[in-house]
Amino acid sequence: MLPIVSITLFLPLLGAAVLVALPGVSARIAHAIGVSFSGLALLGAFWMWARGAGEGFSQIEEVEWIPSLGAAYRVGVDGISLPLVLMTAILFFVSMVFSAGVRERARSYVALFLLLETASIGVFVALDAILFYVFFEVTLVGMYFIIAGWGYEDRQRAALTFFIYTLLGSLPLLLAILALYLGSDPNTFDMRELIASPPLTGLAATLALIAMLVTFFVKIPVIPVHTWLPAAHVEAPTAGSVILAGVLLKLGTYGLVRFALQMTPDAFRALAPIVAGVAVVSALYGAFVALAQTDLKRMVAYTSVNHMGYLVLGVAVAAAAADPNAGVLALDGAVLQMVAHGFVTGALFLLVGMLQDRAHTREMGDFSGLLRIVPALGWAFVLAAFASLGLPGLAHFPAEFQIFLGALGVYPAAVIAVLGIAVTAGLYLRAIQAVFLGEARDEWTGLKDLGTRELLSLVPLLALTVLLGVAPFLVLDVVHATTQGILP
Amino acid sequence: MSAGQQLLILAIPVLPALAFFVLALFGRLIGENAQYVAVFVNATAFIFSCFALFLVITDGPISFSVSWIDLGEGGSFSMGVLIDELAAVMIVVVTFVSLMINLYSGAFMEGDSRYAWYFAVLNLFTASMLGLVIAPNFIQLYVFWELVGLCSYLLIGHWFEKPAARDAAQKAFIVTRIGDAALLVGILIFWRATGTTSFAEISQAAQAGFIGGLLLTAALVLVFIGAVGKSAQFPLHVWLPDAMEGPTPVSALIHAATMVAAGVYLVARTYDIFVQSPAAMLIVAYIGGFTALMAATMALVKKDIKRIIAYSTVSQLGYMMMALGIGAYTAGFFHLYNHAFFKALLFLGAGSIIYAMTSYNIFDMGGLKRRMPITFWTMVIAGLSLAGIFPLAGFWSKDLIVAGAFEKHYYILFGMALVTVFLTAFYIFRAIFVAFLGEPRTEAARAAVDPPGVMTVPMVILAALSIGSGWIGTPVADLFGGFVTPSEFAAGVLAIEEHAFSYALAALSVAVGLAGIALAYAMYAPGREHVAESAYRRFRPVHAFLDRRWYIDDLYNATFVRGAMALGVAVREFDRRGLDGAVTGLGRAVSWTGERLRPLQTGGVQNYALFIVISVLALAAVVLGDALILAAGLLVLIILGSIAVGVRL
Repeated sequence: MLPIVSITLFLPLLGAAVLVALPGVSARIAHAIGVSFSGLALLGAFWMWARGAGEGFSQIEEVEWIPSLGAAYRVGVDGISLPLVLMTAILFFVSMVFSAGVRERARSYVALFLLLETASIGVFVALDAILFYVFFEVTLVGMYFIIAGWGYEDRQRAALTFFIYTLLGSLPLLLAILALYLGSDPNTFDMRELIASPPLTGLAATLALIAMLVTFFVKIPVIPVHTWLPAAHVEAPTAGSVILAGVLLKLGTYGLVRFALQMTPDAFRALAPIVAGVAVVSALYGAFVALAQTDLKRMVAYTSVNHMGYLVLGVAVAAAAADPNAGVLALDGAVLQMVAHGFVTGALFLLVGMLQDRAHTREMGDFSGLLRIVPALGWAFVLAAFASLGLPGLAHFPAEFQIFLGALGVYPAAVIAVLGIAVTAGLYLRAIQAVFLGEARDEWTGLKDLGTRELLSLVPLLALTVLLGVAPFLVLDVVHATTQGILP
Repeated sequence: MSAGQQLLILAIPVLPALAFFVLALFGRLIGENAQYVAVFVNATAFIFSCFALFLVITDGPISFSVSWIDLGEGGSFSMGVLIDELAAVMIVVVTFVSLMINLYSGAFMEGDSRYAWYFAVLNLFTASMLGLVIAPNFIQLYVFWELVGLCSYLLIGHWFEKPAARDAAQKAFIVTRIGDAALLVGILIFWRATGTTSFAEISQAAQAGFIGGLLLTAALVLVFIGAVGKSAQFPLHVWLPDAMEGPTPVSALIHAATMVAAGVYLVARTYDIFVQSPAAMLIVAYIGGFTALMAATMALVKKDIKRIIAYSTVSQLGYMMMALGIGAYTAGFFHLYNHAFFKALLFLGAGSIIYAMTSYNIFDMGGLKRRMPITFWTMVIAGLSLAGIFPLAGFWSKDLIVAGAFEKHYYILFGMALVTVFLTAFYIFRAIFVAFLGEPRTEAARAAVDPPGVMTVPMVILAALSIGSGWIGTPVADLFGGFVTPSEFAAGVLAIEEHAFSYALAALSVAVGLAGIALAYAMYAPGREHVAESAYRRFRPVHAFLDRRWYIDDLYNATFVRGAMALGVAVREFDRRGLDGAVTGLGRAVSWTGERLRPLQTGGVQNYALFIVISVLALAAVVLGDALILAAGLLVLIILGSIAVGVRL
């Protein structure tokens, strides 16, 4: 059989290699290469999706490396990672299309994005803990360069904060992986083994879990370790923000499920109340901070903290649930939330970026009445905003609904997080009101509405947002097949 | 039932939804023809609804569903259709009123820059409401419930260039969403306790004791808060009067058939569950009764004709809630049905005036009777119906409610209801007398004429219904009461007794209504302005209190709105100064170290490659050698590497 997982994984890297090997290519060709290779990777992801995932890991591709150490190149997917792989491929493709306008050092830009794509897909398909860690670190490198090289005014500082924060943050994960390795018998880095028979117990497991939680909480991010996020988002170029919010945050949540939940389940169960508490606080905190923002991009960045709070709550509920039904429901919701957030927030960052490209400002107060001037952009923003505030029929609703359903059974007090939906409604309507409604000011009357390239990048995300909202079962069925086997 | 019939039933909500997509996507091509698409679709949906009603009458309730999300035990949610007697009447009302308003809008909205978009959203509004009405379970209801909210936001804010419209749309969405959050929690509690979201199954589960006592009451109150938000009941009534900033036909639709009716409908829909908690029923009854009275007092002093009608909606919805709360199920829903026609008519009448003279202030009008006879007479009919004067439609249902409160021994509510009858008659005829009698007060009023036929025809039809719609529920032949009845179970719990029609109570309520009209005439008839003026001077503080809407909006602004923003700002500052400050400090320390290490670094990307290679090699070494020592070494390496890279860039 064709090793489609590996092909999908390394196609973007191949594209990056081609770009490196072709010095002096024009921006046009560089972008053409970028779009084609990410497009091919997207086809590969669709192929993987068509092959499907069963209850456990499937589409396994394995090459021995150091057998005596139990280290090997192992990739494969299950119902949790498969939707994320597809989402990642879609977001990268869309970002490459959108980025086709970048002229400045286009070759390096595209190469970095392609490198980042391979690393991101790699995290989701890796079935070897070392491989996972390597990909996890490489994403950091790629994003660091993208922010530092193509970001806005204060990009150096933001990139450095981002880098140091998440790099230091990821070291505990390495220790946890080593602990898992040393605890397993025979020693192995095979994630399937580590999941099938969690190697650590007692204090060791708790310590390993805490180490992993530190890493993933920084990445997700959860308060109080989220402060890199607004800075990184505000300074990152638009496509960088899309990938950062859409894909890189999911590395944290995915790790939370794959490592914390699956490899140290008992310890997680014990710590679940704390995690749930932090998640609820994070959700409400993110919503309120976002409410008080005047910078659009910063506001959208903080709503990610809010949505990720719900997501972490879902995972905590899954870890703690005595009733497996409630746990599975919450976990299904959490995975769906990852995908929904990728599309919705991706679209929102694209839109804010399009606005900034035109007006060179993101301050809400600088705008007014744009809906009349740029109707397509305006209505797209309204749609994405309503999706983000959890309107039924759009992507976030089924996810958050399931998380709340599960949460109520396990932590009734966590239902206070539902308050967040009123706050997010407030903050998005406030933004829409300030930017798009009201009288149009003269200074903006010359703005152009969305162009073809922008529509091509935006419409797929909006269409998927609606599709996920109307037919969430398309993803949930795949997810559910796996999650029902995960929880006891 | 046959597949063909199912398809036909499904077409009722699907057709307007399709119209939305067609008009939203191809609006620019369709242009002025949008109204024909809309009218055609609504007419078809109305005919199909009548067919559904006929089917329900002959064959009993229609019910079928398909699975939506199926995640095994405890995770199955379906979408479906449940059309019982209640839903059948409701869809006929919704599609009929919607048809009238689509017709009327064709002329009213002429020349609007977003003409097709207006009809698109109007149709989505109707479709959402229909989806809500036929929902057999809470999930589907909630989905459409929120879509109704979205459409109201879009329509109230249709003229979004106007700051008032923009703010009103936002207020409507946020206030109702607070109710929605409560509703969502209520649904979650029901699902946790009973494992289902189906209305019928929850009721059965509650009867079987799966949920009861305080939890049941809490869940019901939460659901009711959702209804309070949508139906603009105290304390979430504040959005509805502001919603007048939308186009007037939209107000008619919101107030008569969609949106605000949804809250009352929700309580009626889940009545079998509500009756199992007497405490929840009492809350419904008293919130309803209080809202009816409160809103009526607010309407007394308003000068804006649309706001007067808006407060009357809040007040009338209070009646309906009160009726449901005291166990007068049929009466409450009967009033919803009658109210739909005369309230739609009142708004269309107001719309005609605005169409003719672009002012909402009744004191800018005057003398319109002669200039706009059709508008005048239809408004009078609607006003009499609203005031509950025999034998117009409003009389029959309002009387049932008032009499019900008396017969069920809710004397406080009875008193409140009776006072409300008086106030209602007063404020609506105050508006009519000031606007239509006497001499024109402005040039615009002098030049006003009745609107074109496409607008007056719906008004005349609605006027006929405002007179006659209630005649199917008279004591002589109570067809309505025999058709829309509480379930046997609810009737049993409530121990509903048959009361003979009380002529004394009916006479009393009509007399009170006539007294209200008489007082309005005494104060506001032409040449009697001095009476109103002296009353105003004497009761100035009361007037201010009522005109400022009991200061409730001001209170909310000062507490909740400011409070939420202040909390947001406080958290934001904490986030920036407290948390980020600490991190920035750390970053500075690191970059300081970095500066010292600057000589170490060579080239950018190469450094990186080296760094990664070292990491991987180190990892390999770790597993070979002594894990802990190497891990520590690796940590140092990675930190150094990152610093080097950081400094480089």
